[in-house]
Amino acid sequence: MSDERLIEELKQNEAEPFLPIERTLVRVSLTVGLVLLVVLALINHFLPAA
Amino acid sequence: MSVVSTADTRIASPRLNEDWLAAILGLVIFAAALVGLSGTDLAGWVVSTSVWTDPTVALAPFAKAWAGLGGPGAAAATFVAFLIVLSFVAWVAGRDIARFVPAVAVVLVIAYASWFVGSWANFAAVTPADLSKFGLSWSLKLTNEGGFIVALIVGLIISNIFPKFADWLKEAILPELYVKIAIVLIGGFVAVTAAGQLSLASSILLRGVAAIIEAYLIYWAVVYWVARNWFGFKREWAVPLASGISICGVAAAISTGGAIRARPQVAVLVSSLVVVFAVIELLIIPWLAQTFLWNEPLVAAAWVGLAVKTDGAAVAAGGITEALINAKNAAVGIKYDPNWILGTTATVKVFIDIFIGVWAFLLAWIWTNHVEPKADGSRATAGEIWQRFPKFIIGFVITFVVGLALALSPEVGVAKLKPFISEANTFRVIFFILTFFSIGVASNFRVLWREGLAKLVAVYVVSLFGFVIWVGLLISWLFFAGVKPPLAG
Repeated sequence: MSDERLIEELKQNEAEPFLPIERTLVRVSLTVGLVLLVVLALINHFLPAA
Repeated sequence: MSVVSTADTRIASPRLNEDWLAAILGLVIFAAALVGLSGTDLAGWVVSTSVWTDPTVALAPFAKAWAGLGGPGAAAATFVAFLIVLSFVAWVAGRDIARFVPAVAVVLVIAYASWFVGSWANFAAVTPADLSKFGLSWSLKLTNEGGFIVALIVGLIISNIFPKFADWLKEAILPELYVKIAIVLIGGFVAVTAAGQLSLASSILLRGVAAIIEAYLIYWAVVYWVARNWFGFKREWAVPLASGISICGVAAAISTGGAIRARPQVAVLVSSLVVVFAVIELLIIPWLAQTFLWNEPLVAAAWVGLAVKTDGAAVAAGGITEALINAKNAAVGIKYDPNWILGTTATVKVFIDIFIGVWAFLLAWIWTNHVEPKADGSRATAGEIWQRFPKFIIGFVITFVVGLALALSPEVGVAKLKPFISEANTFRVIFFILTFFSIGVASNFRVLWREGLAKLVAVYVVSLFGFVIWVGLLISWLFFAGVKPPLAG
């Protein structure tokens, strides 16, 4: 497939529904990410770099 | 580079892929340098360039044992060695050898000439003592690593003003291969640098975990959401786009695109944007870091690793940031141990790279089970993690472990090991120069104005400049503020 056809397809860009599994992926990622960052920040606070 | 090679129909089936080739070549160079510990210097002929005002004395072989070669002899030996080795690598990689050999010869000459120009004292001299030594009234204070920027600019000029010449060079424009070899070699000097400050080095490794969380769990989720909900992209576009912007550019876009069975051309088109934006970041972020973070060098290092996409541009930006920040500090009398900034950027990048396979597997599993289950019931398997694992990282780990073991052993130790690691590092610098030049040649800014791509560019701009860069800065600050490299001497 040529780039031109791909770009044409991009311009038309038919909508695709945002599935519940995608919503779950985004929510779980963000939640786990933020929780782990807080945990690491606490470790960083109590075990400062030498 | 992936974006070039994937789109290139001239490539035959590779006998070995780029990652394995980078790991093997990096390890061979590293081993050749370490043979010097036995008293036989196998690789000391490699050319190095000093900061110069008289060009006739700028070049020299790295090791005194090879001084008889003289500067031009060392340059010729280095040229011939790189030409033969890279041609062999290209043959193994299945490239068109008849086109590759003349192209790589020209790439080697232009790239190293750029480095040579960048070492001119008016560009490179940093401290008042240097200025006085060379009898100069002014200098851009770029250190000789300003040569990387010269190589990048020359590459950009060729790509954007002389497209036919750029196309002729294309066979040898392999920035991802060059930087992966460089990263393997970086493992050794990160080890030697870390050996003297084990406690600080392990703290940096611990903080590298924050980078993984940020890239995969926060950046990716937000960019995917923005691409799908704000800009209405289909999943096939949103996945490689989110991976390209948030993880590590081209490799991530192609791996995750493949994982969800996106058409390869989609990931390639997204990758062409990734490369262009990586160059824009490479030209901006090191100077922002020097201006605003010069007194927080490791915050700057981590930020560069998190913000600049593609391995090549990120590690290259780490090198420039180190040169600029160390130069600014040296000008006010603070001299940091070298390699900590570049080492931290490379560590952050390698940590992020390690999980590409895991993330691609996770997406493949979700897609085959929940998004687009196949009629035949086939599912993603854990073998895909290994299949998509960036194998050159194995080379980085080996050089790091061997370097650390030798540096900590009573028989060798840091002082005895350092000259040979520096020898390997001279090769790393040459692969860096090739990377910078190749990134320039591979970056055609016309893609930004191509009709139909405006929305892709918009997602990139919104996500990168509205979110990724600033969250990266915040988290780098949170984890690295106050952590300083050791002072030299």
